[in-house]
Amino acid sequence: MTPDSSKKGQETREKYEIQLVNLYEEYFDKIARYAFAHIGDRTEAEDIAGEVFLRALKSLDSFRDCGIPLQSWLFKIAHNMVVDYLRKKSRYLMVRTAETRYQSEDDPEGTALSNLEIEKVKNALLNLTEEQREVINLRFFAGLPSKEVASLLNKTDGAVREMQRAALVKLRQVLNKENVRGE
Amino acid sequence: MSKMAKDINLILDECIDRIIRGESLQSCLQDYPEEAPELESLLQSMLQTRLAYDFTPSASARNLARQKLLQAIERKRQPGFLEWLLGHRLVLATAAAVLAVLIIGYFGLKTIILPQTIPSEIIEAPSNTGNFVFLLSDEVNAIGDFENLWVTVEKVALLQSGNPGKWIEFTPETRKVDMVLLPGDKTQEIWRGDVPAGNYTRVILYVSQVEGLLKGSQSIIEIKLPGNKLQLSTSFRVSSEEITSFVYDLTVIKAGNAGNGSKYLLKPQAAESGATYRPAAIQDKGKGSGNGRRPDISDNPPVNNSRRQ
Repeated sequence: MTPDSSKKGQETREKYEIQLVNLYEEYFDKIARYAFAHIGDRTEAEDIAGEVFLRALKSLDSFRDCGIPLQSWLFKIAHNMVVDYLRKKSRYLMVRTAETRYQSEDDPEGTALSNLEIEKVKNALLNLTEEQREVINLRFFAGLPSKEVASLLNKTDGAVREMQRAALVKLRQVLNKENVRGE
Repeated sequence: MSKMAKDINLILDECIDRIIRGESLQSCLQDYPEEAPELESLLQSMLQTRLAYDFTPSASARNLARQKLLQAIERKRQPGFLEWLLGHRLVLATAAAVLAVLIIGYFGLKTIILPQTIPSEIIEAPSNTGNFVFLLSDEVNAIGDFENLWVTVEKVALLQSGNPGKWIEFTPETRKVDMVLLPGDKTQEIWRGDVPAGNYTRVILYVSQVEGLLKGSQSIIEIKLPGNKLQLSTSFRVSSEEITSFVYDLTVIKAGNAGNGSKYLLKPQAAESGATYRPAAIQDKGKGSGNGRRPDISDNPPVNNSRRQ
């Protein structure tokens, strides 16, 4: 490696480092929400969000302009971490159906209602395909535009929009049924 | 897929984006009256789904993660001694052996102090039109215990990134600051001048003295700082096209209790410190002393009411 290319490599790394710090403010919450929707644990979701940035920093050298922006790459890392987390727990379905609970000592009634609502939505999400669920997570909870979701999932924008609508139609159907039953 | 289906997909996608950005469901429906019945029920499902998982991470988790990230960046930019040693182990082993024999032979067991390896550049003179403004502020903690808390800053050093990087040093124009006057968002400019463009990763305040007058007391107490310096790991840029205003936030913490003899600690507040940027062309209306003057070098210099410079 020549001194010039080494210097250039260092400059590129530093450029990405600055970019990563700037992205932190905007994307920490989004990544935490994305992780929470997957694993149903707020504290673990916050830890995962923090770890995503550290892993990204560690792997910056391997990050090349591979067609997706840095922020989308962060969600790839987040996705892998969520999958690892769930695999380690070895109880993917149990987590999705039983652990998404939170407690508020100040408002027990509100807590119960919120847990019921989470339960309802979670059951509805289980009716979607894996891909549809990922589209919903990335769009609704992470807040990524469909174009970025498409590049992350290796789909066209149109395919993502189609999956999004199909998922919403399914969600509407299940949620309406649940809402009527709850009345 | 029919033409109609394509259209509704696009409209639905646009409405979802608008709702994520904070617009209301009604404003979307008003723009698409023909599709409104279909859109409304789909968007209601979207809102219900989002609401169920509504979650804002805690500020403490966010701050802790930010701090870890900045520290990791700093560690990465300064290769560790071991890493450097491994890269040059053969040459170094020989050189070290020869050097050790020479040193031990010549100096006996004298203490050896390694020289600082990172070069430094001292900025001699401040400048009214400089691209960098340095300000102090105070996070409210135990500051309420004090009538006055004077911090004397001898020097400020900024670490410019690079290999091995460079320390940029300057002496504040306003060296003695009463932190009691700077709680919360209040800031005080202590230096302004031209700093070399680049990315920076660390800021050190060299503090020669911290003295406080406690409320209801006539005696002045001294707060000791280890090494007389306060270090902050952070990340910011300086360029010739914009003015970087860096706020260094300090906080006073009370340790112990009245029975055991409480003491006070002065610490940098990483979460509240940081840089803001504005184009260099914008003139400094309402900055510094509030009337365009440089801050006076006195015990009670002027204070800004906002940290947005």
